[in-house]
Order: sequence, then structure tokens, then C-alpha cells
Amino acid sequence: MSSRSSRADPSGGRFVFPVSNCCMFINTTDGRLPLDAATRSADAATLRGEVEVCDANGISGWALDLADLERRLTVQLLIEDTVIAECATGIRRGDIDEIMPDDAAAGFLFPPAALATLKRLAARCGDAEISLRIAGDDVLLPFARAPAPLVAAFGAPAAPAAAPPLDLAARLEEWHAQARGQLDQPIVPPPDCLTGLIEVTAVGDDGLVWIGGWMQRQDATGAPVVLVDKQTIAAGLALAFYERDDVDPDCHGFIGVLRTAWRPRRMSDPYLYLGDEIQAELRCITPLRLITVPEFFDFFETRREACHTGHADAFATLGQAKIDQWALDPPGAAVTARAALDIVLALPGFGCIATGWAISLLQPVETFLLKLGDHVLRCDPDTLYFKHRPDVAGVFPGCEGLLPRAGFTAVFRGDLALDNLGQPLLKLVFADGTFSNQPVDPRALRQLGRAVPLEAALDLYPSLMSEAFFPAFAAAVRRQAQDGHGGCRPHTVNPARRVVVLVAPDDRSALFLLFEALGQHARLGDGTGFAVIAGTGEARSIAVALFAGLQRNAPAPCSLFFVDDPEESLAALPDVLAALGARNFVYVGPDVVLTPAGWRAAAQSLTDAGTPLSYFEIADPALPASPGRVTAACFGWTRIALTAWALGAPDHIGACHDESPLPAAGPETTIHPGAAWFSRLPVVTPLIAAINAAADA
Amino acid sequence: MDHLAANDAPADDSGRIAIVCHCHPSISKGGAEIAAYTLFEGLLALGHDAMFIAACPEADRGKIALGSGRERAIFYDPQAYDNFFHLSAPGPVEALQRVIAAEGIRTVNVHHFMNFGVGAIRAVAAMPDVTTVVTLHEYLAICHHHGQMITHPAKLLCERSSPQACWTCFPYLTRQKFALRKTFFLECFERVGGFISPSRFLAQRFVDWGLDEQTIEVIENGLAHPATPAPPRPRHANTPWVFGFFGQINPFKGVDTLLRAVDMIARSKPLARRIQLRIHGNFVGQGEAFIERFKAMVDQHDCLSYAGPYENATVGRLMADCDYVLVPSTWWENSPVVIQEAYAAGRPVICTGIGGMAEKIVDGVSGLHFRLGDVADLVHTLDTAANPDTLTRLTDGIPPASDAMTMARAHVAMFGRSKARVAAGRR
Repeated sequence: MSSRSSRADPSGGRFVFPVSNCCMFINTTDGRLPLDAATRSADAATLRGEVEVCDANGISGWALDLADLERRLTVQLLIEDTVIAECATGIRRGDIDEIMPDDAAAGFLFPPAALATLKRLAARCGDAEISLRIAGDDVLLPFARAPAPLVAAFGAPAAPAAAPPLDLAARLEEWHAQARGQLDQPIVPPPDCLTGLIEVTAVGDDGLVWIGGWMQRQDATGAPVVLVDKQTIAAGLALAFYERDDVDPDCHGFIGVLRTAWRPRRMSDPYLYLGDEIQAELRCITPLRLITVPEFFDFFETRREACHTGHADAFATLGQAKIDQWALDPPGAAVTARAALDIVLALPGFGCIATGWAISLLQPVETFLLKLGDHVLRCDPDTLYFKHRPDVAGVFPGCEGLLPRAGFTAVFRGDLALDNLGQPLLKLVFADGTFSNQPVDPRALRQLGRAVPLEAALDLYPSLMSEAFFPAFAAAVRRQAQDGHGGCRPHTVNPARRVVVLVAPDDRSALFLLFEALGQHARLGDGTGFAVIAGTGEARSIAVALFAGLQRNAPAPCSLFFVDDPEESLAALPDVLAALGARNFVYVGPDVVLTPAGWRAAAQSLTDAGTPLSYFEIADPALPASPGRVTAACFGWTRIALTAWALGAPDHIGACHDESPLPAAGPETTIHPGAAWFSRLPVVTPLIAAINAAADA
Repeated sequence: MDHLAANDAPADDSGRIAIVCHCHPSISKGGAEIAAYTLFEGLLALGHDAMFIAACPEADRGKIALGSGRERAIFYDPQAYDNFFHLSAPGPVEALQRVIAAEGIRTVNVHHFMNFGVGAIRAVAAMPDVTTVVTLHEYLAICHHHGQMITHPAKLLCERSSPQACWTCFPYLTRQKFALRKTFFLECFERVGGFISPSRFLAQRFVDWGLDEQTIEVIENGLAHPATPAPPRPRHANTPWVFGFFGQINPFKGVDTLLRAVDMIARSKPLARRIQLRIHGNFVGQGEAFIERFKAMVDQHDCLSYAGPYENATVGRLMADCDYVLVPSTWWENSPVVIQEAYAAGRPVICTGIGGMAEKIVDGVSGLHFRLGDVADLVHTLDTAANPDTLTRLTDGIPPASDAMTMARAHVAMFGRSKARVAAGRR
């Protein structure tokens, strides 16, 4: 018979052990031991054995030398090629003795120390395979249950489904944030996804809605929820399950809490779609049974002990009206921990980047939570780092040993909205589950990208652009910029089919120069109009005055619009052109001045039939020999083409200075050389460039 | 005020002439407005059909005193003016064009483009049948630092402008803006018929900057009422030598240098007995600390006295009470009127040996030079000047001062050449 693999036969219960000229196998399930006695060999090939149990409960099996049944064999436990434990055979095995001519004492059992070693190694070597062999031989013992286990199987038991009580609020916040991201997507529930019914509801405080009912059995104890009750509303849902006799065996009862803005009424008839891909649907009985929170918790308490899965303990903690989870330490209480936040950089849709200090005399701080208004943000442990804070030595004199790691900086993730950030609090969570709430000076809060520049984040995370959270950070920055586009506000609108749109930077001198140029060139003919987009800064008044002077004298239709930030005027351009009823346009962005050649090119561009995209090359007048740039700061196009492009345009910050935001120059594109000058060279910081690059990724 | 001298038949190829100035001397007595008004009076004295058009702030509407029906004021809002590109709101420019058109003006001589804006020069130069000539009184088109070509804030002499150099003085602006400023000014000057500079030094600076050398002529500013040269002051054995400073006591006129010289002089009793510095003028742009220090030094040193502000009409008499006139300016200057006034009064000038000063005062001929900021050299120069033979020699070297009519004749001739150049298409 041919050699076969030394691995156990995956058909189960049987193995084939390699023997050079014979094949002998023992079927351990039924004790039969077919033995080809004629081919028994007296060399190493006479070794036989099997690993029968190899899990966190123990490692055991049998091994013998057919040539010497009384010989005690040493079995080695290996991780890859490394021996980490050994044990000797010697345990009597009745099943083997029955079929062996002599007493073999072939059983082996690894001591608990070996399991302990595997458990400790599980965290770092979890993906390594375990093998057993007989010492002095390279023959591996086959496993009764293939495949061989990995070291990870010996690690700590999996975390329970229930979250730590104090973490649940943050987990609900995360699911809620996830659901918000789903609101823009179409809801396409799969057929037959109705999973259960909500039978009772109570509206709690802090944006919580308690629900109880039944649903088909499932393992997930938390999920984002898109709730439809005359409108789509986001929610985060946490559940605990218990058995009910009055429902189908494939269903169980549930107690749950929703973090949501939804406020149910008696006649509400909502649909709750669970999961990031709408894996399940809950409905409510109608009319909806609304009870008070105390009544709900009376109901809950009768079922709490029966909850076998989920967040029952956390619910109990959340629901305890007597305990304020965010109360400050009462005055007079023994103070063994203090903390403060020095700077909290808030970014809507992302969370906060915070830096401060924390000193705890008795226990190390395990994690932090930050409460801003109704938002509870959890510290991302992967972002937490510490630093020396000798300046806080006076907080607890004599504890200098705590100062090297007293300072901390971390990212607190959450779907932050700036409309409710009152009463900020920092929670220090200790290893034993206790906590201490510390007040946060509201003056530490500042909106990133508005109150402080984006680069302030680099002060706290110089590695910002390499951090794992950077893509989410970049997306939130871009979203904030988009949301901040207040659009354009028309001051004077005089329609024109062809128009030169000039953006005035918030610079008084530049405004004068712009209107002087308009006074010289506001005669391009064919009814070409001019539109100025100015900012609402200090130069607004002079813009209005100079525009009035232009209107008096210019033969062409002139218009004036205002935007909050002229640097982002490209985003407002489609609206400006729509208000003007323009067909063709030339756009001259902030800090760009047309040369005489540029004005001639503009006239030509506006009269070109078909009006393909044209770029106006912009040079540095301080270095006229340097090559000019082709950017979205000065170009000509049609309104329709621009508007269509804008629908799918990347949401770059400072897009007008990008060199490739518009379609690349091609055979149909005209480039007008020497058409414009920069009055100020655009500066795109590495951070801005990285934020924009993340949009393109 | 119509002046028509029998011997001076008006030259009619200039047509009606408008002298346009950024301010009226009844409001401000700066060198440019006084020179412009002196030219206007000189033109009238020669029998030319001339007008004087001045910009005037709205707030000074009640203060301006127009001398005759030949004077016009165009009112403007100082808030509606940009001091970098020197542009005004359209109103004053349009008003100027209307006056020029309505009055049938054929030659416009613009003295200082402030308040009207350099755009006004372009607009006027583009008017048909109008020849525009610009008189350059300082370096404002070249230098954003008050037109003085002194670095900011170090106040060192600047030899040449460039986007990089100008940005170094004003880092909150951009190199690109300075480059655009120059391009814009040259654009506005493109159709100007010609330029007048009171000094060769300033003219060369503008040629170096970019103006066509063929279009600039040097014409000295004339005095409206030149004084009669006074004889030297009577002297006795112990009569101190009086060196008089005349003008605005502002940070660029070098009064600080004089004060330090006083300190050095005071340390030498013999010198302090021989030399007296007498300051005439009012404080402009000086902080309280400087004024307090000045007053304290006047109190402390007998060799320093302060004569207070003065009227232009009295300058001749006041200079006659001095042996020398001091012009210790720390910037290039162009053609300070005080030099002409000193020459008219028959007084040699001791000046900083740079720029327009060094051009107008020939060292060792009509006066003496000292090194910029070198107090020891100034004291040495004063000591040298405090000598009767030196005074006699330098007094003999004083050139005649220009007057209004001399100035006007030179201008009219220049207007004609500019007009011919424009007609020939050379501009």
C-alpha cells in the first residue's frame, strides 16, 4: 500500500499513519485495530500514536512503540519548530490494552502548565499551528479532529457579547453615527426580512427610547438602525435577549434601547431596519403601547435574570435613575484622581482631538470618555499617547512618579454636532470599572478649521497624515468645508449670456485693481457681462462703492455677488452662472489678474463656437521666466459643462488652486499662454493636499 | 489772478494748461503743492492761459481757499483711496476728466498722483487732444515706503527696487503684488507725453526703474517769492556761527542726527562756544518721546535753540539770521525747496552727501557734504564751516535761485516737446 499523508484523514475518526511498506491504521472510534502483522517493522516506523484532545480543556492522546510496548515515550508539544512542553506516556488506556498483546500505558496528558503556556502565547502567536511529536523522532502525531488547532484556540475566552456597562453609551453613539451615514442610501429591504415586533416602548432621557418585544433568534446584540416614521431617522440599537414561552421556538424576547431622535407616539407605525445592510426589520404593534421609564424597568427587572445574551447589565446601569453616570465627585469626597483638558479640537462628524492631563493616585486610568452635550465620545485607544507634565506636580504633591505619563492626547470619535456641546465632562474609567468625572473648561473647546486652523491638529498629531483615523478625519474636514459653503448672495444681478466672472480676494488693494481693470476692459462687446464675487470681510463696503462706480460707466451688464470665503468661490460658481443665465463664461479666481493678453483671450474664449474648456495660463509676475500654471483658478467653459462636472467633482478644499480638478487638457482644450498673473501665489499645505488626496483615494 | 507781462507773449501751442495737484497749498504746504502752485503763478505771469486743479478732501471743503476763478477743487473721500496701487474711486477721475473737457484744456501737468490716483493719469492721457506731462516729486511710483526709497523698518537707503527687495520691507504683502504694482504704474504712464524731474538723481532713478530716458527732463523748482540774497551776518570775535535747520521736524529730515551732534559739540567747550544750531519748523510724525528729548536738550544745551514754526514768507529773513542752512536729511531727497530758499537768501548749505541734496549742493563750492548718519563727520564739517574764509568761498559759489517765471518758461518749452513727441507717435 502506498504512503499517505501523515495528516489525519479528514473523513473523521480515522487516520493513516505513514509506514514505508505498510499501512496500519487504528480506528479509534470503534476500537478496531486492523493490523497487518506481516509488515510490522522493528525500526522507528513502529511508532504509533494520536492526539485525541487538543483544546483549552487539555491536550491528551496516546503513543506507543509497537516494537516495545512497555517503552515510555516522550511526547513533545511544538509551536512550529519550537518545543514548548513535553510529557511522557504512562497512562493506562483500556481501549488500547484490549487490542495490544501487552499493557502499553500509552496514554499521555499534558500538564496544566502547558495549557497555561499556550494561553499566554495565544495573544502573540495565535496564528501558529500546534503539533505533537515523539521525542527523538520527526514523526508527527496525527490529530483525531482535523485540522490541527492554532495557538489562538488556547487564548482567553472571547469577550462576552455584552459591552462593559460604561461603554454602552459610546457604543450606541457609534451605531447611531453609522446609521446616520446610511440615511442617504435607498432603503431596499430584502423580502421576508420582518424579524419581530416591538410591543412596548418608553421614552427616556438623553435621547434614549426603550423597547421590548420579540424577534427571531439572532446573535447580534447591537446594530445601526434606519427608522422610518414619516421620515428617515437614524438610531443605534442595543439588545438583550431572553426566552419566552409565548413565542415560536425560533424566536426570543428582547429588551432594547435606541439612541435616536425619534420620539414615538401612540399612533406611530414605524419601520425599523436593522444592520448596515438591512438584515432585519422590526415593526410595532398598533396602537403603540407607551409606558413610563420606571414602568419599563419594572418590566425589565422581572426578565433581567433570564437575559442570556446581550447588554442586560448595561441596561440596568443605564436605567438606574438614582445613579447619575456623569455626576461630578461630590464635594467633600476623597479626591484620588484629577484631570483636565487643555485643548479640545472639535470636528463635526469626526469627534474630538483632545489633550490634557490626568493623575490617579490609586488606580491607573484604563480609558477616557468625553461627554459633550448629549454626545458621549469614547477614547480611541490606538491614538492615546502620554507625555511628561511637570507643571501639574502641584495637583498631588509628592507623586512625581505619576508625572511622566500624566499628560495625554487622544482622539475621541463620535458623530459630533456642534449645536449641543454644553457642560463638557471627562470621565476617567479605572480598571475595576469605577470612574471619576472631571469637569472640562468649555473654553478648551474650539472648532477645528474655523476657530483654529486645521494645522492645529498637527500640533497634537504631527503624524496626522499617517494615522489610521486620517481618512475619516479628512472626510469630516471636507464635509465641514462643504457644509460651510453658504452659497452666494446676489447683490445686483444683470443677466448676460456671456460673462467674465472675477473673484475679488478680501484685500482692499486688490479690489481697487480689479475694478480699475474692469473699468478699462468692460467693453468686450456682444453684450458680454461682468460679475464680481466679493467676500463679506472688511473690504465689502469698498466693493459695493466701487461696483456702483463701475455700473455708472460700464456699457456692459455688471453684477455683484457675495460669498463668505472668496477662496471657495469655485463651489458657488454654478449658482452665480445660473442666476446670470449665462451660457459661456470665463472665471478669474481670487489672487489672479488678467493680463492684456488675457483680456483678449477672454473675449475670444467667450465667442468661440462650441466653447470647449479653455485654460488661462497664470504666471508669477515676480518671476516672469518661471513656467506658468494651468489651474482651475482661471478658465473658460460653458455653464452646463461646469454644472455637470460639479456634480461629480471631488470635494477638494481650495479647489480653485488644484492643478487637476477640471478635466485634463486635451485636443479640444485651449491653453492661453501668458493670460494671467498671480497677485499671491497659492499655498496648498501638505495637510490640505493630503486631505484632498484622501478624497481621490 | 491774471498776470500778463508785456515781454512774455503767451506761447499758444500748449493751449490752455492745467496744473493738477493732489492738494491745494491753502490746505497743505508740502513741497509738491507749493512747487505746483508756483508754476501756476509763473505761467500766469508769462501770460499763459493756465488753471490750477487741486484735489481736496471732503472734510476740508470749508477750508480750501481758491485764489481765483482759474482754480478748481475736486473733492474726494480719503476712505475711497488705495495707498498701494494708488487708485481712487471713479468719482474724482470722472470729475477731473469733465473739468478738462469742459475747460478745453489741452495740456495737463500732473504734480503728484495721490488722491486722484494713477488711474487718473491714464484716463487723462487717453483723452483726445490732450498732452499729459507728469512731474515727479518723489519716488512713490517706485517705492511703497512713502516714496522715499528708504527701507522699512530699518530706514536704510534703498538703491534699487525689486519684488524681492520690496517684499523684504513689507513681508505682509507679496512679491507678486509688488511686481503687479510696477507693471500697473508703467501701464498707466504708457501714454503720458513726458515726465519732469526737479533733479537728475530722481530722473535717473526712474530711468533705472523703467521710464524711457528720452521722455524725462530735469527742470528745477522755482521759488514763488525768492528772497534777496542777504549779506553775511556781522561777526565779532566771539560771535558764534549759526547753523539753521528749516522744515518739518519729521523722522526723515535728520533732526535726530543734529541732536546727537549737539551732544558731541557740548562735550567740547570751545566748540560749544563757537557753534550754535537753531531749529525752525514744526513737529510732524514724531512721537512724544522724541519731542520730550528734543525739548530737554534745548533746555540743557546753550548751543541748541528752537525757533518754532515759521511762515514761508519769513524764511528769507530767518535764513539771513543764520550763517549756513542745514539739510541733514536721512533720505535721498529730490530737490528740497529749502535749498533754493537758502540759495535765494545767499546762504551756503551743509547737507547729507546723498541723492538730490548732493546734486544741488556742490561740495566745497556752494556748500559742504557730510556722511549720512556720521555725527563726528557732521561736527567736523560744522567746525570746518565755522571759518570766515570758508564762508566767503562757499557763498561765492551759490548759484542763482530759480523763480516762478524761469520755472514756467522751462515747463512750457517742455510741454511743446512732449506734444510734438506725442504727435509724432513716439509715445
